[in-house]
Amino acid sequence: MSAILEVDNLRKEYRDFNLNVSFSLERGYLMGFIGPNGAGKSTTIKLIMNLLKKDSGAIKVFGLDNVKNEIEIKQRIGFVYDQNYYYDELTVEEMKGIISRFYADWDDELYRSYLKIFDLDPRKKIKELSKGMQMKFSLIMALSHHAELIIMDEPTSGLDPIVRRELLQILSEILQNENKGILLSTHITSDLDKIADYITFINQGRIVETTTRDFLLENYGVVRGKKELLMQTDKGLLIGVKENEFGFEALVKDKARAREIFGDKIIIDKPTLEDIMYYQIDGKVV
Amino acid sequence: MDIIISNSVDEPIYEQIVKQIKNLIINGELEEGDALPSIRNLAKELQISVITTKRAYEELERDGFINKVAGKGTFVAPQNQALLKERRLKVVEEKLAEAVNAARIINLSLGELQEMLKILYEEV
Amino acid sequence: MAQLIIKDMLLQRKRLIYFTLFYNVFAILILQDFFLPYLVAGIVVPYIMLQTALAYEEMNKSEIVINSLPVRKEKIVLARYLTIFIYLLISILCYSILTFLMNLFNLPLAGEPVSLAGIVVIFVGIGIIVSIYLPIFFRYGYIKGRVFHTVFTVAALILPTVAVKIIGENPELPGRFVVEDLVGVRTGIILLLLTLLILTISFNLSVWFYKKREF
Repeated sequence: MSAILEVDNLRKEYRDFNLNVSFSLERGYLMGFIGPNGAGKSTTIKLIMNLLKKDSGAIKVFGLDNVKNEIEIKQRIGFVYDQNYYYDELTVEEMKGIISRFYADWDDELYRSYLKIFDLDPRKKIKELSKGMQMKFSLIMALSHHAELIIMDEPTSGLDPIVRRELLQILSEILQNENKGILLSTHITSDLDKIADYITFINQGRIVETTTRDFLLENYGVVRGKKELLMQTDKGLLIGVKENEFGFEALVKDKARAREIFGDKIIIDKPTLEDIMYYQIDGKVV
Repeated sequence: MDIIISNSVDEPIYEQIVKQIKNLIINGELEEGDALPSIRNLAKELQISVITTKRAYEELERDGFINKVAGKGTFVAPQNQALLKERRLKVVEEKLAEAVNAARIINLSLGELQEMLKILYEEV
Repeated sequence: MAQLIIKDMLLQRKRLIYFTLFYNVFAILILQDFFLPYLVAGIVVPYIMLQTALAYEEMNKSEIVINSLPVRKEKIVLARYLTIFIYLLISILCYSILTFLMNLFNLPLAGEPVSLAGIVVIFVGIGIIVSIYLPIFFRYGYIKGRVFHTVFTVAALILPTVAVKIIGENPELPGRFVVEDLVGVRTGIILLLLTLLILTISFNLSVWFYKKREF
């Protein structure tokens, strides 16, 4: 069984929000978990980590149940959260001393090599580190015990573009090992444009789609044209139609079909992940 | 080995890779037995998904251009020499067709075109 | 689990030393002729240290990390219980050192040396307080647990005054509260076992609550 993570009909209900999701990730790939704020990304990740209790459904990590085998699973998971939740007052080395002892496979040499790569001074207190360095510290903690699955919940929010690129480089390196898997949730989709293999798009607690990034890029498009063309279209083809003074724009999931119907009268552009998210969030379907 | 991909053309990236590697083989820049980068390495360097590179390699393998050797990597397959020659001839033919078209546009005669070809052949 | 205890010590090292020292000195000075200082210190110091540890944890939101690590909830809870008794030991140690030094230099403020019976009393006292407080903390978190803290602080302020009054109205009770009379060996052992029982129940309750907690 090669799926490193399987989420099956996972449900969680709150008073004004409810989650119902299914998706899976195979070893060797990075899945971008995208969606607007409040869509349910953090909730899903917390459910996987058993920080929240599910109402129903199944979560399997490495083929094991995430609650029954919680400890065993956590030995093999590296986590990076959106903020620094480590102890501010401790130094990097002290913090590492505490964390490392929980992991059977902690590799101190690996840890030291990462310190060098990231240029992190272990004698510094965590509160003395910049936000970017704090995230790198989290990443080092997540990577130094040979974790197979790396779960990242909005790791790049609040970081400048240079640091974000550095992070993506590192993730790229990690994926050279085809046994590892990475789940990266973010609302900054530009980060994923270069690195994601799979994309799972969640909105208002539901999965909108889960597929390869290639599929999205090859079949989806942003269509622009004159407003009168809106009459001619197939039902359901144009998603998230936005009209302005000079024309309309929309997302299509079947570029070829759009070309068939409209011919040269429209412009079809390659969509970014942000486009794909944007037009589907509360768009008008025509 | 140079592979340059573009995000802004319509052609899917995996097809661009397939084409470029095919050309490298046809042109002789990649020869039988040469090692190709792993799909992951290629993905990392080009900053694209490993699914894309995997797909490209699968198509190249299907078309007989490359071979995957378990545990060792991916290599340029022994090429059917006749087929290779035929493909190379086709490239020349295509380029000549281009030249013919270009000549017609400016009303160059066949004789003048042949003269040009002779000179170039001796120079280049 | 040892790591979790070390972690608390590490985080609080300065506060632990200063506060323990400060409070024990304070207790000796204020209470010397009246109430055994190390009894009061033995209850106040561990309790306050626990509060500050939990407060810091809450402020840092680090429970998210701790619960993401491969560590059983039982161990996290156990670490909290044990840390308190370590604070207790540190307080008693501090007191003993202070008393020893005072006797060495013949200072008039010598406090009564620590007696076994006294330790039993503190153990029972802190054991009961913690048995009530910790399950509340593990169920509701630090902020809601502060309700108990407030109640306890109020009670802690009122009770000694009440005790003073009672002793004041009963002059035949000696000025010094002699613990040995009250706690015979057999009573002591029974009290200890009872406390251990209560602690065990409390521990299991805490674990049960903590397993259900959401972060």
